[in-house]
Amino acid sequence: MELYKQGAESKIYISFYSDRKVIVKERFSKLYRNQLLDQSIRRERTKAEAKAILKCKQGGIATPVIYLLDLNNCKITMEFINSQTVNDFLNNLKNDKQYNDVELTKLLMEIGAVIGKMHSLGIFHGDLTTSNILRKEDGTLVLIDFGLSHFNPSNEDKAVDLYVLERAFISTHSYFSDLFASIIDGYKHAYGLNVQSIINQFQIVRARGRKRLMFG
Amino acid sequence: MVISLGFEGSANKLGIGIVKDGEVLSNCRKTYITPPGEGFLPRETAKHHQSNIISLLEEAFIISNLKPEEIDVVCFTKGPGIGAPLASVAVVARTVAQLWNKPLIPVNHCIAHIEMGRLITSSDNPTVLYVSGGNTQVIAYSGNHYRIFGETIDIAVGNCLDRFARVLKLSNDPSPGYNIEQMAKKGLKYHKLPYVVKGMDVSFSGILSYIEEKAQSLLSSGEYTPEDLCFSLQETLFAMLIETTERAMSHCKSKEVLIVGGVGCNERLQEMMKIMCDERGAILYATDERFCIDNGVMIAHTGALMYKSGYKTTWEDTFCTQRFRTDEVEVTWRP
Repeated sequence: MELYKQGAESKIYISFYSDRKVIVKERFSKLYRNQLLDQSIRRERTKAEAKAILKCKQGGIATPVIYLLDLNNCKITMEFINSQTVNDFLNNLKNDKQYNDVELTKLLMEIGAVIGKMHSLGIFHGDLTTSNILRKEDGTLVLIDFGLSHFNPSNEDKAVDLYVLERAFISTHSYFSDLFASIIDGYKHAYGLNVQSIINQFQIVRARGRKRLMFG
Repeated sequence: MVISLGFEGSANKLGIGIVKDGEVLSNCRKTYITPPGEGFLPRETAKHHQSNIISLLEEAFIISNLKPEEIDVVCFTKGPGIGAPLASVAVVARTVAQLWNKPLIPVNHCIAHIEMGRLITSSDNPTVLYVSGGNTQVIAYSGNHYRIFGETIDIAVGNCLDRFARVLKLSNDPSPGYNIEQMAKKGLKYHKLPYVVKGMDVSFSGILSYIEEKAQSLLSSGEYTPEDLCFSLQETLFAMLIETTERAMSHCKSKEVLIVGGVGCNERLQEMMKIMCDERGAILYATDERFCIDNGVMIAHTGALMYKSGYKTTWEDTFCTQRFRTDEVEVTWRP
């Protein structure tokens, strides 16, 4: 198998599964970690990822198809998606003088909408960054990297998802940061009822980071 | 050439240091140590600093073999920290600056840790893990600010260790964290604890509540020894720190890590970080207790950097504050 990408916690290989191009995501062992802890983290995250991908798919959110799940070796074989990460897409957009705000706003609203839908299905992502949202050629957004996800999130969890995304946005796309509001717009729309309690919690989580008491 | 005098007293360590262009001339420290099972409180800590600061200042001058008139600039910790000790030290800094007619520079404590680490290890642009009794942050430099990538959303990692040391009634001399580290070296049996990473952030308060509640029964049943629990706690907390640091490195494509802050002198933390770095082909920079633990030199050094880059303080600006974020400071001395 050919190594395609190496992230902080997993290696992604390109392979074939009965004629189809697939990726194999392996959560490899971390030597710095205690073995028991390492085993349980890798296993739980692999399991969480497979479960959330399935539940999203059932709810109508685009996620990769899972072909094989090997819990003992913490490997998932899934569909290879021909796409760009939203992170790369936005970076290219920045260099492209031709882009227009209307299209960008539409993309941001769609990102918000996908997250809103995911939360309304009772799924917490846990690591929402622009690198974990893929954009296919036809504009479909695909969510990936559900290793830190869990089900039935509290308002606090949902707010943390939004907060993590906002911070990723500010640190990597500072030139677009004022447009985070469009993401929230899309989110409100897709989430539907009771969205205000999450937005309120989001404000609380945000304030916590800034005003926290710190000692030396 | 700038000779700089630095005062530090944001927590239970009182430190005074003198540096001349990055060369340490004296580094004096006095720590307020409480009995086993007790933490330090603002009022008593301030009292400790007040009664020791003058003799410590004299000691710093004797060791460096300098006279007050040879000092170019006086620096002190503006924050973050505990109010009463901070104010006690700031008062002395303001007084000597006026007595000797020297410029006075207020320094951010967290930035001082980073700059001291960079000086000692000569690292250029590392991803920084800042871990102490009051702070837990993963920091990277960009656009004239030290940006916080991830941090604790509740208590600091050192606070979690210190408070567990109180449960076990470990000695606070030289520090509770040091004694936990020594116990952990003898621990063998791992007890699974909650592992809480939220995005780039970490949370320790739940882990502390869990182990505080379970400790008595785990120990009295004879299933686990105190050493095992120290070992389990350290392994869990540090794994969380290394994981978030690695994510930040991966995000910034960084090849250097610097560990600073009091918990940074823990050898197990350094060892774990080293393994992670080796796996990624990165370099680890760490310092020992002289510079990891709060000290006056780091304040003096950072103040000198600010002074040399043209920082001017108005008298009204020489106050101290309990809340002072790392990312608030504009870094004028780095490109």
